[in-house]
Amino acid sequence: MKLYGVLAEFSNADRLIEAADQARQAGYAKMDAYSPIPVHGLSEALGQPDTKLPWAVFAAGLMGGTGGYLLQWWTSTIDYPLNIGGRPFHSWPSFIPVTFELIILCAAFAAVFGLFIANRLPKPHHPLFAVDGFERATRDRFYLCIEADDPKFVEARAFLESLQPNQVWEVEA
Amino acid sequence: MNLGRVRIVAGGAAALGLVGTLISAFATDTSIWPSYLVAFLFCWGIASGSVALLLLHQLTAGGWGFLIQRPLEAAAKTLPLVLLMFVPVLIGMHDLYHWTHAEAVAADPLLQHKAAYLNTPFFIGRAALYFVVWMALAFALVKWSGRPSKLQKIAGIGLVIWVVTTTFAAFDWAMSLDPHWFSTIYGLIFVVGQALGTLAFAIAVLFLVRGTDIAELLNTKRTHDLGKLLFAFVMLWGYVNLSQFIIIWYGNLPEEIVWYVHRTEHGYQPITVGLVFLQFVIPFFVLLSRRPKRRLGVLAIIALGILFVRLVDLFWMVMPGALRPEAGLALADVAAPMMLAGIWLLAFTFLLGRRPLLNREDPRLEEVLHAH
Repeated sequence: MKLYGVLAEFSNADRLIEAADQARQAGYAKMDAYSPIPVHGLSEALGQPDTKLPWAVFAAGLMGGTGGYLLQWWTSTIDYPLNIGGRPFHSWPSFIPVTFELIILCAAFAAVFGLFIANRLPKPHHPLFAVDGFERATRDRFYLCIEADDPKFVEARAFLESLQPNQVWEVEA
Repeated sequence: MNLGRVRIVAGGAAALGLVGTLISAFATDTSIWPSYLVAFLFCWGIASGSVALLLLHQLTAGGWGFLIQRPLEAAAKTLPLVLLMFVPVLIGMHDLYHWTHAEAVAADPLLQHKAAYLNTPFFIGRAALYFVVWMALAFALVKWSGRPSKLQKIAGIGLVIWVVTTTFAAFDWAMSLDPHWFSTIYGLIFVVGQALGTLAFAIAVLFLVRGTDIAELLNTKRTHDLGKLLFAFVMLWGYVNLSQFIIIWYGNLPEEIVWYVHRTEHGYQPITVGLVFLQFVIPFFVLLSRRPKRRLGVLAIIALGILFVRLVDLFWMVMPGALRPEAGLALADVAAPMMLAGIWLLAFTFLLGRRPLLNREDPRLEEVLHAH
């Protein structure tokens, strides 16, 4: 039987943070937590690296802005120059609203789709769904899962049990 | 607390500024009134902006508001002093406002048309009304700072009244310098500028007093919130200014575009471009990333920079056109802001030192302190 990981259940968010904190200090790295509410300080306790998403959003915003500006510059000065009120063809103030909107649009797209990609969503099935009672992760229980590819995984079950959770499961992959 | 050192700096600046202002008043040909008006608008902006941020804090009750509540209250309490600083503006009115010249109005049908609003008695009456409203708001905010249930009832309507009165004050004191020109967003530019300058000032003060009892509340997350708010106000400032510019540039009507012509010719172009970069582009890119917003020291340096640029911005709003057609820096331009800001800062530090910096009377503080 190939394992996905070991799952421990806790009754509240403080216990979950404490458990994640101890697991990180014990040297576990491949783990994740599941909770019905956002828990402040959890990602620090899990030792998750800072997200790279802001860079993707910044790059996409920059691209959108540059693209939007160049499109207007090219259409109104090269491809189809029109004399509007005697203004120069390259009238940058009139290009700013569209440039601004495209920065926002592209940055927002990068943020939303980047979020899906970074979280590997959509995910119709997950091994943890097989655990009986795991649906309480959407209601009133907090879970910490140490995954099988962690180098210290052989000791994981004993370690999680030492934290005195409500319950511990071995989850099949 | 480092307030002792601030007092020495403020006192020194006030004394030097006073000497400089007196020298330029009696020994040079340039009128000191335009410089005085810029300095007055700067001090007024922080005192009146504090009323707005305090009202905003009562509406939202975020942790960031508790961090800067006492500095803002102390700044709001300086409004009587700001009123005193306004009196010389009335003395210099004739030098400042073209519409006060009876012979100019007699020769100008447009000014005759506007005379029902732009006349000296009504101007003084309106100013009195604005100050009464702001001081009443400041009084309530300070008196009931431990009873938020009372303040929450007036905060919403208070903020509306504040925006309307500040808009008209901006029309009266700054926009009427060029009585032919008008822009409906002009008041909002002042409103946003005051909020930006006041928040920058409060962040700088918070950095100075970070070692007092406020330390209990001060953490990275709340510093981050203040940084985000500063970032938002920087963007809003850029937004309202660009809104005015694009509309006037598009319309290209002689009576409107003249305001920008004054500011892009006669040597003012470097200041115009400088403001775009120093009050928008550079703060925008510096505050865009997460790290500078989370470090109070870095944030305080950015805030002080913004505060200085606010003064330059007011100079740029007031000077070009009628008051000083050709760009240039007079002694009074430096001396008058030093004098008024120095005096104001002295009063501010004394008012700040009077109460503990953490507002423990507010029942909501307990909840904020223990929130994750």
